This record gives sequence, structure tokens and C-alpha cells, in this order.
Amino acid sequence: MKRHIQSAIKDIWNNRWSTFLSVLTVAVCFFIITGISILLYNLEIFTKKLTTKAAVVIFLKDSITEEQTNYLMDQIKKMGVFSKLQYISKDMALKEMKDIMEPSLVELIGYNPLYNTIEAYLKDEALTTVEDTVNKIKSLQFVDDVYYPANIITGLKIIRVTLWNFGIGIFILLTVSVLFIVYSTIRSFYWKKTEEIEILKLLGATPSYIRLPFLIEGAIIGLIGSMFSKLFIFIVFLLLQTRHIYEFIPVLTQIVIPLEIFYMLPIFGILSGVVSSFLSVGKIKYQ
Amino acid sequence: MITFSGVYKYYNEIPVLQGISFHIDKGELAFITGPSGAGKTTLLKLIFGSEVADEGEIKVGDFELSRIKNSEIPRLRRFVTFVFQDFRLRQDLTVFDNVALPLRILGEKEKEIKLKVMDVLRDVALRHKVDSLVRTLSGGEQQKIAIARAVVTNPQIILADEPTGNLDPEASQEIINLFKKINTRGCTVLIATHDPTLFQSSSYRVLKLKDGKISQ
Repeated sequence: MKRHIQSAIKDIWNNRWSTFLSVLTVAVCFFIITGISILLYNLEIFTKKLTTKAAVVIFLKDSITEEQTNYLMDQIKKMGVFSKLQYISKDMALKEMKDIMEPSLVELIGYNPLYNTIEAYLKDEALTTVEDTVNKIKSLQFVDDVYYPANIITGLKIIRVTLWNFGIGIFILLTVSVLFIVYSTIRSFYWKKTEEIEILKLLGATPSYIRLPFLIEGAIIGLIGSMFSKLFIFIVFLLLQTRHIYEFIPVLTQIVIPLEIFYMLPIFGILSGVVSSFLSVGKIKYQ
Repeated sequence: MITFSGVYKYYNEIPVLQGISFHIDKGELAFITGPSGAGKTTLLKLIFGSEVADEGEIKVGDFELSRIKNSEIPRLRRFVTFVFQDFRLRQDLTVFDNVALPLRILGEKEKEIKLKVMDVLRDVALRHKVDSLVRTLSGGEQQKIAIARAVVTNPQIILADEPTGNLDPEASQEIINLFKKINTRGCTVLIATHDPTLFQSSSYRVLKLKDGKISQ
């Protein structure tokens, strides 16, 4: 293995400029891939926050008693799709209304027009089946009507799906680009060493013996590329902080950077380097 | 050690070898001779696994070459080594690194490699050139290095295709003597040559190839 690593490093040094260019291109691709991953990760957090904040409001019939309310809340709890239920009586609602609106205006109506309600907060996994849940609640006894912010939830779903599709598309495109860049670089190394490889074949070298230095070269290109992309990300964050950009774009302070990405990036770099080198060398034929 | 039974080989439907049958014993030294295009190189390539026979059976040691898989060829090439007319040495490496190459492929330790390489270089009388770059050596010296590389792993069979083709008569005789010396250690040697002076005064077996047929 030591000999193969030495051979790979020697090759990389002999072809340093082409290696540097591919490393740089791989780094840019990884930088964009990482950026997209961070964006999608934050989008996921953001949509979850928003959808869980949007509660299903259950309007109760006027005639409902306290016992019946408790019974109804039990039934809703048993559905297992809500993380939190909160009962708001019509008196409490009126009080809240008076806090928001001019109290004299509320007095003008002469009676309490509001309903006893239950605010039910959906669990994350229940977001996709919210419409079914609403229909079930509507069919329950003592329920007058149910309201949920369908437009917001559907809109968010569409945005989320679109951005995920876009992100995955870019991810695949750039991953293929990385594979292609390493493939072409290793291919050129391979062609330069054709004579040497032919001699190795004549001397009884196995396919893995011939392949290994190229796989190491690919892994090194992938690894260094991923390290460079980490460096770019670090520089971007340093720039954002030192230039006080957070003050102009406050949403940036909310961005969460999953540390897993930084562990995964070198592994992904090495893997893509090895895979493309393997493809680049192809089958070693002796006849 | 080497058995050919009714071997045919065609290139673009033109027969190069036509029903060749012969047997070479273990530890034998034999010459294959014939004019250019007689099929000498093809015959050696068939034994080395570089070419596949179109018809017939070839057996080299335990290897059935008519059915050999691509993955088995590296093992065959540790059993049979080849000395080429054009040497096929790495011109960018030193004598030591060239001779050490097959041992490195086998994964031997550097200490062992050094001992074996120095031993074999002493046999070919080129120990003093150990650190020289191959490209600085004469043709005769390069051929000796190629032979040293071929024997360093102690193969059972050595094939040589016109090993004296690029050398002057004196160097040629040195190379042939070297093969004879290797043969005395029990290694089977098969030399293809069109130069009759190399075997005229010897008692070694000569297989004469003409128009793809053996006429011994």
C-alpha cells in the first residue's frame, strides 16, 4: 500500500497543474452542493416550524357542556395526530378580542358572537394527512365547524417539494460533474502511463495492483476538493460576520448549519473520487 | 511443461499457425526458428497468454490456456516470463528499480528485494550498474537487465523473442550463454530466433516453423 500511495503522490505531483484545476473545480461543485444541502436543511426546519404553528381550530356548538367538551377533547387526543390541544372558551376569546380591538366597538355588538374553540397543533408526521383529520373531526358530535389554514399548508408543501426537486436536481448534476471531472483527470493520467501499465501487465501485475494507484489519486483529488470547499464555506461565513451582513439580512442569523455535512463532505469526496477513478481505469485486459 | 495439440491461429482469417503440435519437457532449452512471419512470435504469445488459440489445446504447467480466464493470467505470468527483443524496460527507472518491479508486484519486502536484485545482477555481471538509469545503458546491457528481471522471481519457464535481434554477435553470444546458465538451474527456456548461428553448434532441440507449420 505504501508503494501505491507513493506512486499516486508522485503522479499527482508530475501532473500538478491539471490536478490543481480538477481539485478547484471539484471544490466549487462541492461548495454549491454543500450550500444547497444547508439551504434544504433550513427549509425543512422552517416549514416544520410554520406548519406546526398553524393550528387546526375546532369550533364547538353553543350548547356544549363542560363534560361534553372534555369528552370531545379526549376523542381528539386519541386520534394521535396532535402534539397539543388548547381549549379557549368564548369568554376567553372575547377577552382576547378586547385586547386587540377597541373595547367599545366590541360592546357595541351587545352580545358575545364568538365560539368555544379548541386549538389543535399538528404533529410533523401528521401534516400530510391534515385534510383527512379535519374531515374526521367535522363528523364528531358537538363540533360545529373546523378551520385550518389550508392555503398556507398547501403553499408550503408546494414550495418545499419544488425546492427539494430543484435541490436534488442540482445535487445530481453537480455530483455527476464531480465524477466526470475526476474521471477525465484520471483517464489522462492513465493514458500517460499506458506504456508503464503494459509492462506491469507483462510482469504479472493483477488488475487491483494496476488500479490501486489511480483509485488513490481519485480519492486524493476528491478529498482535497472537499477540504477546499470547506475552506470556501468558512471564508463565506467569516465574510458574513465581519461585514455585518446579518444586520441587513436578519434571516441569516436563523440559519442552522448541520455539522454532519462537514463530516460527510470528505467521505463523499473520497467516495466520488474512488468511484470515478474505478470507472476511468475500466477493465484491465491481458489478451 | 509446454504441450501444443493441433493448435490453429488465424489473423483476419489468414492462418498463422496450422495444426501445431509439440511438447517441451521441464528443464529443457529449445529454439524456435524460422523466417520472419513464420509464426514464432505468435507461438510465444500463445504460451504467454497474450493471444488465444482459435483451435486446439495448449497446456503450460497446470494452465489450460484454451480456457484460461482473464483473471488467471497474472498468475500465469508469474509462472512464465518473457524477454522481448525491444527489452520493454522502464527507461525512466534505474537498473535496480526495473529488476525489482516483478518482486514489488508480488509484494515482497524491500530488504528481500534488495538481496534478490543484487544476486541476479551479479549473475548478469551488471552489479556495478545498479544505480544507473536504464536509458544510459547499451543494447546488450539492457537485454541483460531484461533477462535479470525475467529470472528474479524464479519462474518455471522463460520465453525469449529474438533476444539478440538488436545486438552485435559478441553481445548475442553473451545473452545466449546467459540463457544456457539459467537453464542449468532447472528453468525451461524457449528462444525464438531467425539467427541460426545461435544454435548451430549446440545440441539443443530446434523447432523449425515454416508457413505456420512445424518441420523439425
